[in-house]
Amino acid sequence: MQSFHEITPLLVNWRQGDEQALAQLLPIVYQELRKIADGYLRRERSDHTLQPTALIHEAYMRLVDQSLPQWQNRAHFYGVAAQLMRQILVEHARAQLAQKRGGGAEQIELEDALNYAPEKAAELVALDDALKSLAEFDERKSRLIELRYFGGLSVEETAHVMNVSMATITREQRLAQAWLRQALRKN
Amino acid sequence: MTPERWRKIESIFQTVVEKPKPERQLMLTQYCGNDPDLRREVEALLNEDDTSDFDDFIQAPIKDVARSLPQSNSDNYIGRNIGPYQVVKLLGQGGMGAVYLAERADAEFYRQVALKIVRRGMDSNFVLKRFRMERQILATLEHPNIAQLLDGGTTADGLPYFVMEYVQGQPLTEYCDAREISLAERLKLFLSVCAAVQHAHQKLIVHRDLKPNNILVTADGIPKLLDFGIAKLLDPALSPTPVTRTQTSMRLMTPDYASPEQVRGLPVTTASDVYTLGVILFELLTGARPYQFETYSPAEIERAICDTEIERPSALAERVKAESGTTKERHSSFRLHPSSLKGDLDNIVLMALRKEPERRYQSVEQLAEDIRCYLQGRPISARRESAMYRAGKFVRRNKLAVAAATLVFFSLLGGIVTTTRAARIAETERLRAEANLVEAQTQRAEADRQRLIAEEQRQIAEAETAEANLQRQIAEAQRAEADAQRRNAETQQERAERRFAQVRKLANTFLFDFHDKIAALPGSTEAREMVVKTALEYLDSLAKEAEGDVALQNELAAAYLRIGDVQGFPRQANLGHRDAALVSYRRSLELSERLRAKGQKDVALLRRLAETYGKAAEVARFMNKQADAKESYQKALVVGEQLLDLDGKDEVGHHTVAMVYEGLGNLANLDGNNTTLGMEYLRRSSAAVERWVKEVPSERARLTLATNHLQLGGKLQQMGATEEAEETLNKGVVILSEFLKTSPDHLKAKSVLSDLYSELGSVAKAKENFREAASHLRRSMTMYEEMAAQDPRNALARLNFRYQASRLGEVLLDFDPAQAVTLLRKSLDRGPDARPLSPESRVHQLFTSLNLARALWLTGDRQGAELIVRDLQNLLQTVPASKIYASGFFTHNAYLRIGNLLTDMGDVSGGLNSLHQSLQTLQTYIAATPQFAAYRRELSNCYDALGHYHTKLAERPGTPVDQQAAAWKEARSWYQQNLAILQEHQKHSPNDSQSAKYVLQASKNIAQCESALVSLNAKQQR
Repeated sequence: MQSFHEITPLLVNWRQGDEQALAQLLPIVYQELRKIADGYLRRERSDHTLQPTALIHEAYMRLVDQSLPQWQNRAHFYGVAAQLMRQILVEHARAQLAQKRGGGAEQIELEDALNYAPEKAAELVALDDALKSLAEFDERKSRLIELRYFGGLSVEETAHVMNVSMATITREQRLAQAWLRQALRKN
Repeated sequence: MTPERWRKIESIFQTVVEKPKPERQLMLTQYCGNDPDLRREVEALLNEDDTSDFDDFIQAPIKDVARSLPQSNSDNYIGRNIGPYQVVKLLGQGGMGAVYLAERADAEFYRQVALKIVRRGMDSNFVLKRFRMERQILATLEHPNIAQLLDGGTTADGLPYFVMEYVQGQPLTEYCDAREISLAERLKLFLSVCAAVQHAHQKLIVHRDLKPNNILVTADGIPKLLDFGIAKLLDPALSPTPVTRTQTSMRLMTPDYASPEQVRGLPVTTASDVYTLGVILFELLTGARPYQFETYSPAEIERAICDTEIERPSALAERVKAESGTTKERHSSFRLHPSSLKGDLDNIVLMALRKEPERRYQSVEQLAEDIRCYLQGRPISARRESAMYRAGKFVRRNKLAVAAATLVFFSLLGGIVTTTRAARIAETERLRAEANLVEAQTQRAEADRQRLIAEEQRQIAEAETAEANLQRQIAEAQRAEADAQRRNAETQQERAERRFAQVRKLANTFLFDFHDKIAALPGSTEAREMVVKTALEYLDSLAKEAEGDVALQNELAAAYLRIGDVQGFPRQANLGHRDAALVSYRRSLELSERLRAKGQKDVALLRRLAETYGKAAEVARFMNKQADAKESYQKALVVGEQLLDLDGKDEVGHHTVAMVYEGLGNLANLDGNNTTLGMEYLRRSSAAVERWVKEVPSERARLTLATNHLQLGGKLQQMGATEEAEETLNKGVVILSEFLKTSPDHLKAKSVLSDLYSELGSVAKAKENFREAASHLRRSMTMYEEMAAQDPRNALARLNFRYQASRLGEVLLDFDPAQAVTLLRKSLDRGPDARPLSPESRVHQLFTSLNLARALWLTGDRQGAELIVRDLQNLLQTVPASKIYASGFFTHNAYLRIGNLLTDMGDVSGGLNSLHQSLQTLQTYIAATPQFAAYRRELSNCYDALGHYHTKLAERPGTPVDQQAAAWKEARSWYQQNLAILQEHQKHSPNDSQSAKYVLQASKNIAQCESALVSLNAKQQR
């Protein structure tokens, strides 16, 4: 089990822009998210939508030493976790697709099958690709969508993390969505 | 899609999308012009912009995939087979993969192994590469103290794994504590670890992540090294792919055991492992690590590991023992004797932990050898770092930084010291600090030498008997003295080093952190605040050490003065932190006064004192701290006179005296009952400036005189002495007109002249000579307009232009309302400087708007007028009355004027409400502000307005007789109140030449009411 003292420096480094700290962080947070989600699903039954936000929230509470000053701003953490969440989800989606294409001789158990949704996985992968394309000529909007949807941030929180006004968020989100819908429709 | 094209598309989209559909086509044609592709793209996006169902296509896939996350069992190997191994349980998670306990059972044998496999989802190229590298590394290592690689392979999915001997044991430090291993035994265990690391080094492999958790000790007491996960292959031939620098980034290892070069990202060598072993040894011996991190921020880590000197293990152990009886953080029965650590072990550990790799043991073998020597009682090779070395590297590293920091700092404080002086100061600083260090070093060297002598003598003495005892005692005493000297030297050195640390911090702060901000310094409030804050820290810390250093104290006093100016002196660009400014001024004064008390009497010091007292007084007055202001003014006056005693032509002296009297005058005026005293001071100020001009007819003197005339004239006008006011103001005009002939572009002169005209306008207005008033005000307004046009950045000129436009508009209201509307509108147009309104500005806006409303009404635009009035009424509800000087009661005046306007416009009920509100507000204010001088005049205005109101009501055609009578009675009552208060005012302000006129008017009004009532009565009786 990872302790705060091992995770926190990774988080700090990642905040400073170190990609490789992310590589180390991902599995840890992934693990945490899985455990939490496991708990959720055992408690609630099938049609309860599992919001990524709730997962991130719990992960935050568990992983981050609340007494440290860097994480005073929860919105900021969420902003950071949004990126992480996107990565996790997309990785997972791609893995599902790979499996579908007959990668391994794994036995898929019945429980798995209930939640195994390759079509949705393909949609997410397409969304991720579209966001990457968007980022090529407008990084800010891509980040905005990431924060709003993968991180579940409100307009106000997003404005705070991105350091712009709320009106800007609303405006830019509108255009970003239009463009994304167009891009996804084309595929 | 390029960013540029996208920006175009975006800007059109955002503009068009807000408009209703019919307008869009037109706008698209307008913006897209002759670019049909552009139009198509924008239209396509507009079509997509459908506000219903708008984000489901994003939400849904995210939610669904998230939901499916946890149920994926593909990572659960437990019970499954991987190769010939069956997975039993999970041992732990690592960065790239998991480690499982697995078993191999086949015909030959049974064995438990540790199986490490990459996790699914983590099989990116990067991770796979690392994994294979680790496998490669382990394959080359074979040593009893290294966990052995047994096997490896790839799963059906293409995930690599490898199999190692399963080591069951405890981490090294835990093992030693749990079993209370003795010092010697610990060292022996450590030697085994060294052997393992040395083995890896011989294979050109650097571990880079050594830590007690990676060293497990089995039940048999054999330490085994694990986890070569981030080991670096020094031999390129061995690595599967070229090892790039980023991959071997230092950031992958635990900071607690990292070496300085790892933290800095510099090339890592076997010496890094030596360092880490040093940390582990430190921990083994003392129970604690050499650094304790709190936040793990990169800055903290770097600072601690690269800069902080490590406490000697024996010292740490001693300290901990003193604190808790035993060494903390460990099993309570484990007891380390600090004395056994002292000396050789200290030196061994510290040598391994030296910051520079080249100064450590050059190999793990050397480290191990020294430990073996220690265990065998043989002399070791490690030596204590010399004092000279430690001090020397400090100076060398910081010489440049110190000089640079001081130069930059002083230049930023804007002109306190010229460049040459800054260089001199930097040089002095440096010399001073170096001198301290050299002194400390010499003392240290001397102390060392004494110690060696004492040591020798002790050894001689021990060979003999009774005599020997005595001699030994002597030697002890000498050694004690040497120790004391050494300690003393250390304190001095510590001080010098601390000073350097402070300056170095400043250097780093200015040169690195604030580099951008420095560039933007002029006008940037945030930057100035930061500079001020840091400067203050610097000054405060210097001030503590300035004892006895006259030059430094002078500099500090001057610096504090300047800082105070920037913080809160109102007459220049400042940050508005008045309290802080006063504190800085006080600090400056303390220093200056102390110097004066010591006998310093030079002109520079006195001038500075005068200036500081004067400014402190001004700021205090600005904050309404009247007593403080007075005190400071008086002190300033004393110094000012002293300066003039020394030299009748000292301009600072003259200026100070004049300024003090003016300030005292302003203070007195705040205390409403003392207008005579206020005037007296103002006259004294005039006399002082006139004396100045006579002695030194400098530009500054003449300007000050003109300004003084402006102020005196204004005051006289306020008091009602219009003739004298006019005379004084005209004197000012004459001076400046002359002045401007020789210096036509002098901004300040032009400003003052404009203000003089403005005041002359007020005087004319008071005399009801409106044509003349308009002409003066127009002159003033035009001058400001020109100044604003010449320098668009001159916000003050623009402000004044708008102010004069407002006043001119007011004067022209009744004569030329159309022009008034134009002028007033110009006045209200704040244009580009749309910053939040200061209280003064708000007053101006309010009254100008009122006048505009009236002007609009007069030109027939009733609707426009009503609109404004409504807005103003709303504003008045929300804005609390400000308390700055005379604008403290604008609220009631506003209501009054609104009331008058509404009444004139015929809105009787609205008008009355407003008038009553005015009276109410005024009465509340009076109750709360007992020293409010002009309250009688204001009350008179209210009463008069109310009287006027009811008069109009009475005179309205069609009013039934009984209502008329009631109205006249009301009117009379109000006018009577007015008369009473006017008479009271007359008594208290005999200088007011206008008051007689008002009294007369009030009496007339009363008479009018009486006669109206009489005639009504007569009518009724008929």
